Amino acid sequence: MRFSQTLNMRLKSLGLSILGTAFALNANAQDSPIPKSFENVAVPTSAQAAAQTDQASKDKLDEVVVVGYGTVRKKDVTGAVASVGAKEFNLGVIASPDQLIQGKVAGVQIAANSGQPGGANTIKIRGNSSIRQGNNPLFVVDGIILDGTTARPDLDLPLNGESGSVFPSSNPLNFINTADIASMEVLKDASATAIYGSRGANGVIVITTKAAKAGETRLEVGSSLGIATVAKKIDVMDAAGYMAAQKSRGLSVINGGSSVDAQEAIFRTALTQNYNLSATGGSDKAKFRFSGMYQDQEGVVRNSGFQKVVANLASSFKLLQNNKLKLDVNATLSQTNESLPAISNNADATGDLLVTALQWNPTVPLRQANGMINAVRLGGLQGAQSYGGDGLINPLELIEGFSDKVKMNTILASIAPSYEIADGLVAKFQYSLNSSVGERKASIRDWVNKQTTRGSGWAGISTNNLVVQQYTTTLNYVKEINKDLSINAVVGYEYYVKELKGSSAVGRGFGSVAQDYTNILQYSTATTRLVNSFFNPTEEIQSFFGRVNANYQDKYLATATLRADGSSKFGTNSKYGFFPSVGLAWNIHNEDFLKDNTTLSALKLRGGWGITGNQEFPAGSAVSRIAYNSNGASGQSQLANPNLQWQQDIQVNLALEYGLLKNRITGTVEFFKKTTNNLLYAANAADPGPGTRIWKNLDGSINNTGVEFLIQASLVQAKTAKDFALDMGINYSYIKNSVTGLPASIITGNLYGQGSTNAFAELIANDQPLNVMYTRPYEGIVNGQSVYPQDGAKFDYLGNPNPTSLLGINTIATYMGFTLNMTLNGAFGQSVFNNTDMSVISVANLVSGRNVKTSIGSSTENVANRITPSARYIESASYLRINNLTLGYDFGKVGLVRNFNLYVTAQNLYTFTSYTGYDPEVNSNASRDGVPSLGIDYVGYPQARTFIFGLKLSL
Amino acid sequence: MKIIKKILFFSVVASSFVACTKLDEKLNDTTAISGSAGSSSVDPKALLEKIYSEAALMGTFEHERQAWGLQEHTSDELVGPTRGGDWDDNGVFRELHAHTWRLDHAYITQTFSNLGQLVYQTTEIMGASNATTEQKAQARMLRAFASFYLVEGWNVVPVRAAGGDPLANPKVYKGTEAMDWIIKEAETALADLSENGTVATAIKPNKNATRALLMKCYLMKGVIANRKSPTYTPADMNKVIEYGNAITGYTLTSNYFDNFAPTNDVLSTENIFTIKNEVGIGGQNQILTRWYCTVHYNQFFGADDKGSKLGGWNGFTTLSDFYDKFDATGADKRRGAPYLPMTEKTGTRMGFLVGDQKDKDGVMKLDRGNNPLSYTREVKLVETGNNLEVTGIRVLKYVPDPAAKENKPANDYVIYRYADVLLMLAEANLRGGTTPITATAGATPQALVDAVRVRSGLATGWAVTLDNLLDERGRELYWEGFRRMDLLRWGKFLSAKQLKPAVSDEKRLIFPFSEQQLAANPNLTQNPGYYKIGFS
Repeated sequence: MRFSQTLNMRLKSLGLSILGTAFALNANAQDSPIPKSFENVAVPTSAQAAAQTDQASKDKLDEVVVVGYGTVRKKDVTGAVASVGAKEFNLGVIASPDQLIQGKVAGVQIAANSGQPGGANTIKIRGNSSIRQGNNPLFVVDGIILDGTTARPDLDLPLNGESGSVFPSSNPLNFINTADIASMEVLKDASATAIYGSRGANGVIVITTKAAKAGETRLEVGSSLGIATVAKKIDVMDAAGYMAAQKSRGLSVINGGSSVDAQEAIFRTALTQNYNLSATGGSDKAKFRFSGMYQDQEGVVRNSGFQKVVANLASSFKLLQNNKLKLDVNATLSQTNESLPAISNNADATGDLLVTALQWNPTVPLRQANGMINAVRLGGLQGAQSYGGDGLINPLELIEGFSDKVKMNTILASIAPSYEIADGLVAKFQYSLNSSVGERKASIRDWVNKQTTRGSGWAGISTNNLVVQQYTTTLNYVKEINKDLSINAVVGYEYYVKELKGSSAVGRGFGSVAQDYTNILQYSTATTRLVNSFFNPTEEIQSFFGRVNANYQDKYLATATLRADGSSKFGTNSKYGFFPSVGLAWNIHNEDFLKDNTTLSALKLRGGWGITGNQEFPAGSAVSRIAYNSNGASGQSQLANPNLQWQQDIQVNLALEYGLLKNRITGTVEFFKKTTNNLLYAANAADPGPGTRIWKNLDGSINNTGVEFLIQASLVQAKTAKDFALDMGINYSYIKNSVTGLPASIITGNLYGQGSTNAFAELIANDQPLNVMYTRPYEGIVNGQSVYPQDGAKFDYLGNPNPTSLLGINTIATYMGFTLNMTLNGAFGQSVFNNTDMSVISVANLVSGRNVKTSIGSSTENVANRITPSARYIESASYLRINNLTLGYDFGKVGLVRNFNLYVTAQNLYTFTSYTGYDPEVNSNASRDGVPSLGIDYVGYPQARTFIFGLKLSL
Repeated sequence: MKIIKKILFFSVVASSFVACTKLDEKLNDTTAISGSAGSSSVDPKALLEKIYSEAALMGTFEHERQAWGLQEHTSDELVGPTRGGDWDDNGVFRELHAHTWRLDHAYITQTFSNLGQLVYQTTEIMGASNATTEQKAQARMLRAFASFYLVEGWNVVPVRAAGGDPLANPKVYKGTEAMDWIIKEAETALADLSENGTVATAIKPNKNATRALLMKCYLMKGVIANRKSPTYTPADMNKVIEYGNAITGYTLTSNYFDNFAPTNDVLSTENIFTIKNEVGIGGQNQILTRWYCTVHYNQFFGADDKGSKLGGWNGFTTLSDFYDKFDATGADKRRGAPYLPMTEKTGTRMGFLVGDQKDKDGVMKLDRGNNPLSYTREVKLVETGNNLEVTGIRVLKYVPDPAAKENKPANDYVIYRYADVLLMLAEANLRGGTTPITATAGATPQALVDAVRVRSGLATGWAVTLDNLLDERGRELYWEGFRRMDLLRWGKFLSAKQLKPAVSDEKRLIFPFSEQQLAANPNLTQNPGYYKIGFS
């Protein structure tokens, strides 16, 4: 048994390092000898937890997890590593890999910033620990490091005044075919992430794709069709209520005599199609896996959507007569197309698509009888084609007169030769290329009644190029030294180089010419044209790293890691950072005194300590630079900071893993304390300064302390594959976040919209949680007017946007061929500042003929009540969501079809929350001076509720 | 040994793909410099161009919320009322008018930083070895100009040595020391500048612009020395007169509003120092805010009164107490006058807009609630009534540019003009200056003020005293960004005013620094009376 285990591990780790990919033994469960049934629906979050036969449990012990530059046996892990296999992934319309594990891992918060198809998520592993943007974890796909940089161009669309509109970003991992993923490992604590050194502090998510597989050619096909509708509408007044609200306040505005729901007019029932195909085969000496996918996801907002096409080839060759030289070649080609709606993060008072829809006077028809868009202009109703002055913007103008398209082409390729030098000693070299081109074309027609563009129109095009190359050389050594001691070690060198450049051109003054403006930029008025090009400083990182994992008698485990990172970004006085960690574990159940205990089937104590870094600041920030601005102007763009270095995290982790009743119940209790120092911050230079910011490592620290609970139980065990079985996994984490020692408070949380210019709602302040909400207390409405202490002069700390608790519940029931899978996730204790309520659907709208929130319109609030930030708009955003409900039926072998599986999934089925906006998970980008906000809701793209019907089969 | 050989072999193969790098940063689209931009080989012309076209100068002075805003909102001639849902903006305008601002006030912080940016950028040019004497003199004048606003507002001028280490903590001059430094700098610039100055050259620093700045400096010296009870020395007042006498070649523009017209660069005969604006050009061209910030949404200035663009934002007003300082008969054209062709095309007059607003055909304009658009005399800090859209007297100083297609009008922003020079000459005389005045407009305060008043349709002989000269400055220079410093000179900045019944706390004579600004420069200490974020 021991021999085979070791051999097994060795083979796997060799295979993995050769392939540049890794897979858990059970990851390719299609091939598992274990009968399809219970095994294939392992309880989410930790396969280890599934109560299974003794044999299966033993196999689980040999399961390997990818921990960066190699693998270790699951039982040898000393750090906080959560592994999620393909079988446990969320189903449904999934555009990017992070969505696969939402709610599956304790201490990991994955929240969609908005419901935009392909939009970005905020991912926080063990809390919020940074005061600059770019806080998502590091993603590593088959050894290729992805830091979140994409070639997706920004364009300065004039939806917020003349310039400065901020549009939601897209998910940087959109180019990956999620069906190619075999497993995802979340490295949470420093003892696990230190191997990624100066980029490990936010945690690391290691993605391992499905590998080439020898044997007869096998084909897997999947297809699904989904229908999505908007999960929730904001409750604004209907026509009758609106007229009553006007009347009760003695107002007389346009009564269009109709009854329309403008939200309904911009939303739609959206269709999603998804097709997957993969084939594996070849000989032991030359094998492959090919896959292709096509996804067409319509957005629930008209004219928005996301499409992607991905082809992937993974191939593996054994060369030389002794088969000791191996070569892996992987390539992914991907194209994504985004169709973006006119929804910006910071629309001005005249609004974007959602703002104008929420505000549309519900008595006014959106279209005239002749089909022309109806527009409220000065002097009444007119067709949109005739310019009026100020008035309202018909939301249809921003659908039919607005276009914003992004096309991204990405190649992610790697070639990795490796050579087994001696028994257990493998040298490997991997070269990878991430080359991506993003193209964006946007236009606003002249007849859109936006003050900044009406009568002239606007168009812009932009192209960015990203090239990232990575050279990794590693030497892995896996050896059983003697009966008691086995060693798993790796040393390596890595060189990483990133270049991002691009160009853009915009113009105005096109007028009524029929062509798409983006095709005739030369037709714009010369004085309105702006051209720009840039080439960011080249970013180079050179690293040396090593890790040793030792196992003594399967009882005592130790891991030590060290990485040295040198970065071209760092200041000249600190070119290299050193990131050490240690992890220790004690498998108590292997001690004699517990060996025969039948109740306690597993018990492991582990602890770790480590230092990691975060270097997500712009390249070039450490040196003084001259930039070349428009029209021959030039000047200082950056002040030097020769001491600029990484932000540092020191993390301590202590965990107890247990298993009861032959591991029918398993669980983990884990404590952590993470202290973040040398905070990266783009500070004001001392005045007089050059007007640009100076990057500093601030004094002060951010502290995250927490405890995570994980429990998995097989509530009803099946005797045979056909019996009823019920499994449940619960993960819960509690996190406390605080800021200490900052030299001065930092303002962030910009508010936008009517009456909110330069207003803010959040601070980074000492002895408060990060992004604490800081505004006026609110005492209610008296005589129609809001009342504030000291007439609004008093400010206080009034809300915490950081959840204090996260919860995930995964339940699987199987019976006969049926599987019912339910995933719930929730976050508790956090507040959201509802900027939408404050300045988009406020009572003031009644004066200007715009719509209001129903609860406000039907109240006695005076139309003249002023728009002022206050605690009135701070809402509890705690929620529990039925995120995923899937019913599947496995037909097994049907004719020539090996596996035939049908399923129905409901995604985002229901959310329990008292939050009144579109969605409590919202996180509009309301950053100020580059300091991120948290939990500000300013009319983000609403979330969809999706029903999917799908089938999977293999041939 | 065999294993070692294999390792060596593999390492050599692997390292042939990549060798260790020194990690020297390749900047690509920017140029690394050591020290400040001035110490580099960058063309000083490009550095100056950046100043003229970007935020530091254009934005700071043209924007309705920055240097101009701080001068006007805190005074008796402008108020930014909250109108229901509009214009509260977290209370920034109410706080300025009521003298209750906090140290996190967005625009106090921004203005301090933007003025500092101007000081920094000009210092770079002065430290540039390849800059000409003229370029350095222009930079020096602009630096003194920005520093003047810093000492007036915050009682400090933080400075850096030309060509010095940009990372060193700036030295901070305070109070009189700062003002003396500014005067010395301005006088050096005056000697070095090559251009004497005409209306045509008003868009760049010249000798006459510098002289006007020096007049302001010498007039304000007494304020800086003692803000609560300023005193003035004859020597300083004589300097004011000396510099005023030296400003020649200008006459009062016969039509007052031509000074603020879209083509004021050719129509005006009195503009001494301006910021150039061109249609459709300049990211920081903010001149349109001068009319957007005040008139109603339904008041348009496009090609006709139904114009497609350029409606207002319905914001700031003046106060009836200030309006009533004008001649009640309406003889004073500054208070209100038709201006052609604008009035012909839109029905709107220039100056103060009160009462019914009609279009070119005499048809009454309406507000958004379809009520008559008739501006009331009175206004409150927080407007809550049904007429909140129409309260307050609006002020059109700059002539709206109907050609401003891309929201970038062509009116040059006026900083100094000759009428101000004449009034300053009169003031210096009344404050004890003994040097004879040699202006062609006249040699006595009476003659100078008469000249200014007669131009706008008033008769001669209005009694000129020091006390009522403050009112005359208000009438001539309203909404031009000088009112706070004028009130300071007359010791009336803290006084009770129409919408601020109490005398303000003494600390309001000086603006606060933000916490971030204090943290960035240990040489800076908070001005008295200000505590920490959140406290007024």
